[in-house]
Amino acid sequence: MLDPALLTSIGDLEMVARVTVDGTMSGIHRSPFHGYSAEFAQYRHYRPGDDLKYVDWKLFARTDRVYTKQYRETTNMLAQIVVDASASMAYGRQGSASKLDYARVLTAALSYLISEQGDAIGLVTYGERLRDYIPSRTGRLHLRRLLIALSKLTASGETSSASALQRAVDLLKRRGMLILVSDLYDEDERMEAELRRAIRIGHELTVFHVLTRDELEFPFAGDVELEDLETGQRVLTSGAMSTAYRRGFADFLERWRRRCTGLGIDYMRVTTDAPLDTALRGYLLQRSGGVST
Amino acid sequence: MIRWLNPAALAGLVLIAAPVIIHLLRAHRADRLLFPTLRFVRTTRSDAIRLRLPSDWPLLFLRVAIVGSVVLSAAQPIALTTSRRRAWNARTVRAVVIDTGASMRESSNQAAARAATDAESHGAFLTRRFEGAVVRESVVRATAWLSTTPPARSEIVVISDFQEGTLKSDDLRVVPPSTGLRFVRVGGDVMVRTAEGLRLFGAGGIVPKSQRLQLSGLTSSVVITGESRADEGLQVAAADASAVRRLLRTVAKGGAPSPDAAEPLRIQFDGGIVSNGSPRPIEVDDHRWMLKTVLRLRNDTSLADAARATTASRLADATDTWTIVVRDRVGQPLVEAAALGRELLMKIAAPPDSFFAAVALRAALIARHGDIAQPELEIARLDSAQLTSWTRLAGPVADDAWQRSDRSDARWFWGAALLLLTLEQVIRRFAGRSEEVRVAA
Repeated sequence: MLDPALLTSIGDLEMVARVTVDGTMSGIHRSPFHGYSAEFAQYRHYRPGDDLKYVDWKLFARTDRVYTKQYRETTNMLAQIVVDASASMAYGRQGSASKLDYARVLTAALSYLISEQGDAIGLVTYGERLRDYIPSRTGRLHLRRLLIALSKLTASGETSSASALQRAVDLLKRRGMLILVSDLYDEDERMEAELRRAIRIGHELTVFHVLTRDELEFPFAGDVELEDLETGQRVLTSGAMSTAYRRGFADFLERWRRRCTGLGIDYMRVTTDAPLDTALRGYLLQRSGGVST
Repeated sequence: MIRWLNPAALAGLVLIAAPVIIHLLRAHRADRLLFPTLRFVRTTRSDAIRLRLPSDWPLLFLRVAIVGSVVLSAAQPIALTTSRRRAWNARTVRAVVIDTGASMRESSNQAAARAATDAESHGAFLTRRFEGAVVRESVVRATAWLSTTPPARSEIVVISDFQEGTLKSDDLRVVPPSTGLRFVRVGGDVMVRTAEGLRLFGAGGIVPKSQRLQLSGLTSSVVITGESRADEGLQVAAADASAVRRLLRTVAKGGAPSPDAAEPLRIQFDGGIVSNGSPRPIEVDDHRWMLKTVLRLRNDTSLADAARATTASRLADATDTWTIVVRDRVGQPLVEAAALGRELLMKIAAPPDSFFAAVALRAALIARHGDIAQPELEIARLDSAQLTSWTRLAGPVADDAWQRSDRSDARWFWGAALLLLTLEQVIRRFAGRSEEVRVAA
């Protein structure tokens, strides 16, 4: 179990990513990511353990024998991680990881994992507007460049997830994988439209919904004046309003879960107090078809 | 029962309102926290918050208790417990009055007085010595001091040879009945005591004389001895020198104290010339003996009687320099005085061979000398039975003695205030830590 607060306090992002991935991948033998530009090579007899999705069912119907197709991979997978670095991502309790800290380590681990597979990984960060764009490439040097950009990332400005997603989709040269890491505090309709567009183009999408325990539970007692991290707007409220808050927030989460599920998007809700390797492992198992969250 | 040495400080209890007001005002301003989004947050009406009572009751209670403890400690509380009263009654404050009159200066008496004083200095909670030649005055001072001392049994110890007249019953009325009185007699009986008396003026064939007083238990005698000295300190200026000689002889024959070269008198009659210096008014701060002499002369009835039968031989000078000592039958100045250097110059507007001149000169010599009192010559001593009748034990501490207490119970309240302050700090730090919100960069 990797404590997020501990991990985010370590400066060497590459080491953190390696530790996280090593801990996550133990026991998972199959890669959850697949290349798209694969060329059929030959048939071979089915052997126990082979993935059933490669079984040629038509051939089985004709010959009554089970064969699996073998492909020759011609190109690597193209992955782009889109990280929300708006001011709301700065939130976190004293002594624990902020949402941006958590997103940074999560992104580093995913990048490391994908890069180690030999696939191309790229990065888009945004706040009010697009900040960093690192095109998807392979190689250790490229990964290091990406990690440096991640480590320099700071949270500021309002969220414009829809615009950033639109730009990231446009920047991805061919069909690939888009991973959005955000707290999703943006206009729901615009975001949904951009997600639909990405799916239509043929990209595979994953959404990591990063939250803190405070946002889920609204633990404040007595009167508090809350200041919006992004807009600076202030609101006087009290702990008595927590029930209404939790109800509204639960609706928000449920809407996002349904929206993603409906669009065939992998939706992962992670809280900053959850061990990183557990969160990552859950995601990988979900992609492998083992466990769904 | 709690009493307050400084009850005025209790007015400070109004300060308790301060933490209450601060808490109420703080309640107006809710803690400000940063939050990712306000999309799901519902606003409460600020009016509702303003009317709310302070929510931090433990802290408010602590702060009120801290202010209360400090104010109460400033009011100097004192608990009148039985044990405290017992402790007060078990200690003694002692004023030791030591007679330092002439009779006590005899070496044997001095040693005895010192030993007695040392003995009385022990065993008391507080001791103070009051030395003086007049015992009754020392007793008054001792009584005044005892009225300011911390609560304890109080007593006055008088150490003296107790000559007759040292103390009277009336002198002891100033001492409160609860104050104990003890009398320590030092020195043995004195059989004979002698002292120098007056030195008498001599002139015109009458030799100067000196007196010697001798007192025993049975007799008192004055021995007068002629001396071969010349009196100094008196000059008389007049036109007629023979009249002056007659005047001096008359005064010497009548008997008068000798003049003193340290306090010289100069008498000027009509026609007498005073050459060295010019007269000036007698100042209060300058040569007090001159002022005393003039005042005594003004109160001298024999001089006043003689003046009423006399008429001034000339009109007085209308200046502020001269102080009128006595007037004649019609109100004209008859004797005037002024300072002439270190001399007292007296101008007499009467002939030097007149009766009034002799009366005035004699009166001037007596006035310069002053009163003659020799109480220390007394041989008789106060009866021991009298001293015993005055002796009494110190009474218990009076009910209102706590007002003079040297030590209150304020320290307990100070301690409580410090303890509560520490507790308040701990609670504040703990509460503050739990509410901190971090904004990650």
